[in-house]
Amino acid sequence: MRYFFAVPLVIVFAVLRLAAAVEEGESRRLLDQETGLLSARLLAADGGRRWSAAPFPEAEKLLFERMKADPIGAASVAAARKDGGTFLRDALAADYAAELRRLLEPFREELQAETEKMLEKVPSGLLEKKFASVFPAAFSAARKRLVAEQRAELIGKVYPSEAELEETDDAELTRLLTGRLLARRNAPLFEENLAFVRDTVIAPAIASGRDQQKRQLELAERLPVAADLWTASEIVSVLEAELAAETAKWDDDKIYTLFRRTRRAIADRAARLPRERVVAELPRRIAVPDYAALLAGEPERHLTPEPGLTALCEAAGREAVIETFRELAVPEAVAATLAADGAVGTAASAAAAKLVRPALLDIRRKATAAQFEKYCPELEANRWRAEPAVVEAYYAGGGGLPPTLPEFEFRDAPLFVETRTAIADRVRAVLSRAAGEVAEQFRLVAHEYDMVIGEMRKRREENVSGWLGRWFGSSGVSLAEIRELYEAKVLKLYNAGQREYRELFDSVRSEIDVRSRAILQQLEAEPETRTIPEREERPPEHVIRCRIRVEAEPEMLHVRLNGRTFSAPPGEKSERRLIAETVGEWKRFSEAAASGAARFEVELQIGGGPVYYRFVAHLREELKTAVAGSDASVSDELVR
Amino acid sequence: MKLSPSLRRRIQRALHLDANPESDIDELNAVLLQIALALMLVFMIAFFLFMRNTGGEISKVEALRKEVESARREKLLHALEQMTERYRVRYGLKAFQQIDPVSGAKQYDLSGIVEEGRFAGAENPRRSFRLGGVAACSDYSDPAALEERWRVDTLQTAALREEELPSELRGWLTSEIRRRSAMVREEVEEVQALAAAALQSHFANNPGLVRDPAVQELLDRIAVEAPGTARDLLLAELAARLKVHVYAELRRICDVPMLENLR
Repeated sequence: MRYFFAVPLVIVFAVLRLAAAVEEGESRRLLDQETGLLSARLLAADGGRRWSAAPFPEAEKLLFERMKADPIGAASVAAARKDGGTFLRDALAADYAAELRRLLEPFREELQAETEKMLEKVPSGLLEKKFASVFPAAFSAARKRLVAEQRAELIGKVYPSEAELEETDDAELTRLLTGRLLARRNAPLFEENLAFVRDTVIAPAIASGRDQQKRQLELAERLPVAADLWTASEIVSVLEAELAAETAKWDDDKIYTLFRRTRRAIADRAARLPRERVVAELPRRIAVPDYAALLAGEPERHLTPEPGLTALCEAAGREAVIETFRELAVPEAVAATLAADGAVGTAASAAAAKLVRPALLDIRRKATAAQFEKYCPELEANRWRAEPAVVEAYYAGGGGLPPTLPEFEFRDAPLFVETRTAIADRVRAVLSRAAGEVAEQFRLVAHEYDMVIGEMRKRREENVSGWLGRWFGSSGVSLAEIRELYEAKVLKLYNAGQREYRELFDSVRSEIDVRSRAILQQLEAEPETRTIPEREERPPEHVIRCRIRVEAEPEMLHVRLNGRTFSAPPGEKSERRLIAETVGEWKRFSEAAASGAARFEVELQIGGGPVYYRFVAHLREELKTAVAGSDASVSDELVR
Repeated sequence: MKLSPSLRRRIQRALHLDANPESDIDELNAVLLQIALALMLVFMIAFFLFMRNTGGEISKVEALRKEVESARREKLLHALEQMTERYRVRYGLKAFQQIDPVSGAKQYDLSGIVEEGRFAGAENPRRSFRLGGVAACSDYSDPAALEERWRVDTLQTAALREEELPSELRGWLTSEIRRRSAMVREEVEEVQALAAAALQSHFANNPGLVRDPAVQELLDRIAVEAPGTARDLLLAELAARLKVHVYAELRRICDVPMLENLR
């Protein structure tokens, strides 16, 4: 308002100043004077506009210090706001005056004192505008800072410190804080209120601290770390900064800084994080080598799976580690340390064992199958049949190792070990099946023989020719006829089933021949004098049948007797051990079971799976040896 | 020149030296020299006498000539005075100028011509200011022609012809015309500066009326410049620009071209 009254005064003064006659030369001086005044006014107006728009960063600090200096007067927000408003207006006016003094310094000699004073007085419009833009935010910030400062002081006197939380248990902390609180009071606390203070003030403070300890540790493990950080120092500093930023957002009265244990947890995590990253990424980076190409290109170098497979797995593991380092952009120094870390090597080996070895084995299996098919198509297609002589020799050998067949020898061929084993197994299987047929033929021969002999015994008193004719179909018999009929009968019974060999084996024929002679011998002997004592008549005896079952799985042989099972993998040594255990068990059983006169019949049942006749033959021989000197008998029977 | 013996004898006889046959040649030379000096002395006295007489006549003529010249100069001065007054009238200075007849001190009074930023006041002063300004701008825009008009009018007023004037007086006339023309110009500029000061005072009281973009640009530059030489230069530039502005405004409101623009 004073400004507006001053303006007319200045105008009158200017008019009066210019009203009088001027001396020569004065005009220019007057013009310069008025120009200077105009320049000053323009600068003042322009400066005022800029001042009004410029920030006043000191406002918050000034208001803060004013309220802090007079806490009683500033206790009420409304009173503080009113007082702060007046104070800030004065500060703004002084700031404006200082700014204008600075701007108008070059005109100090030209301007008159009152003009200068008028220019330095802030126009009320400008003052209010600046006040409105500065005061609310500055007052709010200053008040907030002051309140926070006071609150921190209050909390600092009630809440425990980080060190106290870590080093002291809850009971001791409760005592400590209670004593601290009581020390602040001028009057003593009533005893009844001690529990109240403990439960409502102290306990929540301690609980808050414990909860923050726990949450800090959880965050230390959970906070993500940027993938481009690898050194422990970088990770530690980032984690600590992030954790501090996260804890600052918590809505607790007191926010604790990082506890020592939290820092240790961060350091531990920083130390192991690079390793964990690499180990987690390894399985995705491990690649199966082109083993198929190696097997196809250089089979002679890979006849056995080892040490090739292990070498390839190790190489794949090493490559995976390198690839992981490259993919994760691991710095060189860190990569060198991780490469020497045993855990990384172990993880690489484990990944290789889990992912590469089965794949390599599968490739090898396929290559083996391909070789098998290539070299033994007939055997692979299950069309190969051994010569009867070979089958008989295999059967006579007790089903042990299959004979070396020239057609499957492949001496110079680069066959894998597995291929050779597959060939041998398949040959053994084929021979075993064929041997089974031989055994069946023999069984039929024996069965028919027993039938005939039994019938002969029963009908000893009858017309031999008559029943012979019924049995043989002819009343007159000769060795040839008996043999022929015997063979035909056996063949007929034999071919009633699905057979691979439709003809009788030579050894079976020989057996038939022998038995035919025996039958003929029986026939040619006198019926009343024909006594064919197979055995001496013995008094009725207690027969104990002992059944021993032999079964095989692809990698294991099982022998079951007396409720017990003995197992061993195929192989000469293990089979010998298995046989010894079986014989030992039988001895124990026989000693325990025998009471009085008893005759043992040991029956070997050949069950499922590829049971090698070699093993059966050996077991049978050992059992026979064990029962030698007794009346025990040992028989074997194929049970499928 | 070597004297012949006969001649030498004659000279000796004339000087009465022939009685002494032992007379030396040096004595002869000395006598001859004295004769020469005597003759020269006579001539010198005659010359000085002549010059004294002649100088007196010359100085009389010179004095007469100076009197004539002084009379002419007086005429020319009077004519120049008249011309000066005539141009003062032409440029409207009489309405605003007062010259002390004793001391010659000049004062200017433009009260009311520029008020509240308007061309105000009585009709006559305004007309004088406008017409005078137009005439001054027209005359001073061609200084050579103006000088020639001064010379012609001055000679005419003094009833003299250019040919009658000695070169020295012509030179004096030229320098005097130039001096007086510049003086009158200064007086016109003084009046116009006083009017500009009045208008500038109005702008100083109402700075918002200054809407020159160049002024605002200068204010922007001054605002960001730290105190120092550069800022002082900008302030000087601002003052100059404000003067240009006020003269432009004066021209606009008075419809009078300013002599300031002819600089």
